[in-house]
Amino acid sequence: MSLTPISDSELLEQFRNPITKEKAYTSLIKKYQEKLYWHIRRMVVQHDDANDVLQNVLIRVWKGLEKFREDSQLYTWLYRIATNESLTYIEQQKKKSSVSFSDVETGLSNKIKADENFDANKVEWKLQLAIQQLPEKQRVVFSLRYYEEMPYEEMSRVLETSEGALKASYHHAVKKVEDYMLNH
Amino acid sequence: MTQKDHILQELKELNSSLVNLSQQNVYSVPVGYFDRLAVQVMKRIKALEAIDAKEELNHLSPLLNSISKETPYTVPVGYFETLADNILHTVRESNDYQTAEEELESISPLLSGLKKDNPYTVPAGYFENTTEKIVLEENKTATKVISLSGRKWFRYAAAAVVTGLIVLSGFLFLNKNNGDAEPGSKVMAKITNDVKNMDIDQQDDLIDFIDAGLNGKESAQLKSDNKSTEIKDMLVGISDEELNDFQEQSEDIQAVLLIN
Repeated sequence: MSLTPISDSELLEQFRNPITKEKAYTSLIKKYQEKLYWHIRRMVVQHDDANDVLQNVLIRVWKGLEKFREDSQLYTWLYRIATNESLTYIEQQKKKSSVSFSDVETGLSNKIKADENFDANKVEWKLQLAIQQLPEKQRVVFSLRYYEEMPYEEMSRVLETSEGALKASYHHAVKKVEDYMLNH
Repeated sequence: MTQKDHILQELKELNSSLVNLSQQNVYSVPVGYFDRLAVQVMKRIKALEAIDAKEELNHLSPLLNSISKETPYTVPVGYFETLADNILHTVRESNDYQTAEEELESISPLLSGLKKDNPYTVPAGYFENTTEKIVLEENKTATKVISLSGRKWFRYAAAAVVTGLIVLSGFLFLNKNNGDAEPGSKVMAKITNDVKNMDIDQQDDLIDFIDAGLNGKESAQLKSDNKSTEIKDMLVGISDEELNDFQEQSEDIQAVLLIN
């Protein structure tokens, strides 16, 4: 028997009912956990950091979902929270270590290289290193467009930036990533 | 004198120290930058016109488009299977977590203390026959009868009836002593003329009034409760005997109009 995934509107309705609130919340997590996790992981690299950020995201969802106005898609809202939490986390890491931004990038590159499965010869690992060279917001744009294939219109709502600026940012990001891969 | 000379001359006149500075460009440009620029721009234009992300990436970078998007990172075994339960546990442990009962108790201890037993009762077997009853009710509603045949024609006839009755009654009363043999014909002419001069709203009102009086069955089956109320208000103070007389006279005049 194939399971039809529950719709977002049904989830919201069930969440607003005290009796089915927890069940709806669990269903929401199961529906979106992987997408959110990988979006965060590509930003922060390590699993433990991604897990911390994801848990923060899901707690915020629990607290804020009742007031969610449905003037945007649910997943747009979730991605916005995940992106903001990831960027906040990176910012906090920067402050904790009192290093410049470029050192944070190097720090993330080192984390990639420290992964037990890292293989410098494999193009997938090289791509991750290339992505970490991008400025943080450009990294988000690249990740959303390249991996999620998110339409610019949706991305504009997630990042609250104009579509034109996002397109330009993505095009530059692709160029930088390609250059890195060709030269390393 | 060239433009450059003009500018230098201008600087001299201004006693600017810029006159003596070398105009050498200190910035450097990547090798081959200008050779690739046109191609790069064309790629971006095509990417902007792409219909989806795949086509866009193909224009911007065929290399990136060709490699696998699989992320090489690994995830601990069973991570996603237990995530929801772990998060829920964290939520329940938080200071501001409340069950539905706890929430009600914090808002209104009085309501929280009340039993939730339903005090209302329902006739025996009510829910067993609910489906059948609903089907019957819908069928009943579907058989609504509204007599609308020749409504457009009837509109004028009905309006004429009411006006005619009023005029006829007055006419008969006034001509009673003159022994006028056929007051009806003059009255009908007047009725017809009056009806023609009425606007649509007035005619509708007359029709509604006639409908209520001429055909009690139809008015009972129509769903228009508002009209029934209005008609009742209009008939306050008029006795049943008078209404019956009115109905009989209206039917007679209607019969005359139908024939003619």
